[in-house]
Amino acid sequence: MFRPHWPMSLAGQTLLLLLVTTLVVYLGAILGYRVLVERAAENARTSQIAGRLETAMNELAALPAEERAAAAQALSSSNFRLRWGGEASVEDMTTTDPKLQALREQLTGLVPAIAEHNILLRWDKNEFGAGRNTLLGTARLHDGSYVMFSTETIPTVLPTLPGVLLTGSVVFISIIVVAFLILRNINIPLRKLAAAADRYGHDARVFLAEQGPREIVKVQRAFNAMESRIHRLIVDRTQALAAVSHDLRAPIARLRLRCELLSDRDMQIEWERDLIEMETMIESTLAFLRGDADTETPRLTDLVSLLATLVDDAVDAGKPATLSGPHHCGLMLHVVSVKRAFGNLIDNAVTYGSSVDVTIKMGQFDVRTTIDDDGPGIPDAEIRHAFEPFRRFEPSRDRGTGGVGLGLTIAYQAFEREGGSLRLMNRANGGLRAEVILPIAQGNGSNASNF
Amino acid sequence: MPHVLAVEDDSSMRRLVTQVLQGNGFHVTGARNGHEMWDALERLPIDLVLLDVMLPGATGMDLCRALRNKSSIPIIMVTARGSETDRVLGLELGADDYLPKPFSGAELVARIRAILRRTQMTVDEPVVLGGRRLHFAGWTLDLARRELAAPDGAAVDLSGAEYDTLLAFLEHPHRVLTRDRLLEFSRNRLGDVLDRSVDVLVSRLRRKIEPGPAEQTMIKTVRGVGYMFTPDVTRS
Repeated sequence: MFRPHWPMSLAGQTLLLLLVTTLVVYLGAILGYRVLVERAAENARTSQIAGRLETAMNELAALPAEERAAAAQALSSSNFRLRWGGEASVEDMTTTDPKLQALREQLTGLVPAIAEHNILLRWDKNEFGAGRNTLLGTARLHDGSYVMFSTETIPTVLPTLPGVLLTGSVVFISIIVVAFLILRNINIPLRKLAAAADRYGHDARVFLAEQGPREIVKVQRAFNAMESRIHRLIVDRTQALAAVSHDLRAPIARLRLRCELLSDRDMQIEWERDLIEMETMIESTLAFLRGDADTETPRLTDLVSLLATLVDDAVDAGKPATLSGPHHCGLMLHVVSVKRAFGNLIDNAVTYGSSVDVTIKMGQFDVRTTIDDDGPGIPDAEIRHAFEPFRRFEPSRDRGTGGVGLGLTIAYQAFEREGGSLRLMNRANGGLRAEVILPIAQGNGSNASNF
Repeated sequence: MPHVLAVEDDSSMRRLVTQVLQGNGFHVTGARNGHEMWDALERLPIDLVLLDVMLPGATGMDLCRALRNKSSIPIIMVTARGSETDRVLGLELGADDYLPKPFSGAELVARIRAILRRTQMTVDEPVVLGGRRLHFAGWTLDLARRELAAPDGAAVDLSGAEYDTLLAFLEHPHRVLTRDRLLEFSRNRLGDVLDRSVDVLVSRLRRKIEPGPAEQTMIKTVRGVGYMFTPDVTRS
């Protein structure tokens, strides 16, 4: 069964409204036109009948009886026939037909003299030939004789169906075309607004060009103003946070030296550990705020040696760490940013697990690096939040070297900047796997293993 | 007693550096800005300049360039941690080493000693001097940027100790270097070498610069003695 689909779009609803309105107005106009035309035609006919009848009655009354029949004949025309007779041959229908009654009133109204002449009216079908509507009427003269008239009621020419359809479709098509143009003018900027709002917060800046009707331009201006305000706000806060983090380095640098002057060796180690932790937090906050790659240009870098240094650092820190894969793998990278990102992943692995295995696999178009630990992993429901800034798992866990919860965020951003990706997944036999995919830029090629 | 000139505008930081270095047997003079630095260099027999990048007036970078144009005195730049531009620029302007802030006193002392040892050694036993790049077997070690490039041009990441060890090999090719000697060189960066044997360091270095275990090795083991670097080294 067909169910009409209610249009949901602005264009659809507006078009529907326009079409329904136009249809109603159009049909109403046709109907009104019909009524008015019919009434006007009837009035014209009635006054014509009245005039001719009056003339005939006056002329016939003035003539001697023997000449009246011939005179009546002479006064006749093709659609208005007159006869003269001794008696009324018309069976009056005015009492039963309201239309005829109205006609008689109109006639007597137009020609008051007629009122005295006892007019009888009836319809006839056969006077002018079968099927043609005829009005028959008789009026009595002063001497008791009758004048009889008959006239064909020719129907008024009314708009025909094909005509209505033709003019109707012309009207409708023009409406659709005009409406389409107007709606497009509204729709395109609206769509751009939606796209801009969707993009906002992902791209650096979003700006809408002013375009479209006045109300839409107002919305665009308001959006742009809001965007600048929010941007300003973020920039101010970011700068404040960066300035504070930056300035904290100086006192930390002093404290690092000062704590070495402590006589208590244990106290000194504790102090140093706290200071290094603070330093790490500040560095990761600054890296998050400015993005390491800002001042760096990508250069051909051996990914394997970079990971080897990080793995060796983990080994030196007393954590079993291994690296397997090719001996050499040249990629175009922002070295500092990528090294920090891998460092964060390996730090996480050795913080939450007891060992870490790093594996590099060269593909045709990309290089896949997996960093596996044997820690508790991350609850599946939490994994998709893992890259959100300042998010930490297992709040009960001692902060240790965990920093401020920016490690994964920074890593995620860094690999995205390289055109690569970072994914976290829980391994089947326990532990977390971080999988990094870095593209091999076409052109510079990647050189694996052999020189 | 080596005489260190500490150029640093933060007075308490300057005082602390002075204190730490004096405690480790250095003679220290402080300078608040470039003006005081030039003044001290003229008056005193300075052996090494410790130069902060962030200085009022003439920046550390400007001072470093000007100083290097006038003399070959060892310079250690103190940079903000994580600022790659500062690091590379400082080294390219002629600094001998850089030290990211914040640093520990032990780190500072180790760096200064390593630089002094190196400059003294190059005076004692003149190896191939001049040139800022060393080439061997298709590889390039850029001394200015402290960067190693593989034959395909890819930058190879080295830890501080690995860099120092490789540099020691490149400065003494075809010569046997004992473990003790190598340890001296690599002790540049204290903390990451103390309890690590030279053998571990060499094997890590091998893994980074040698294609595969089966192929001819660049760093030959001299049983019971130490190691020898076999490829020819050229400078440019």
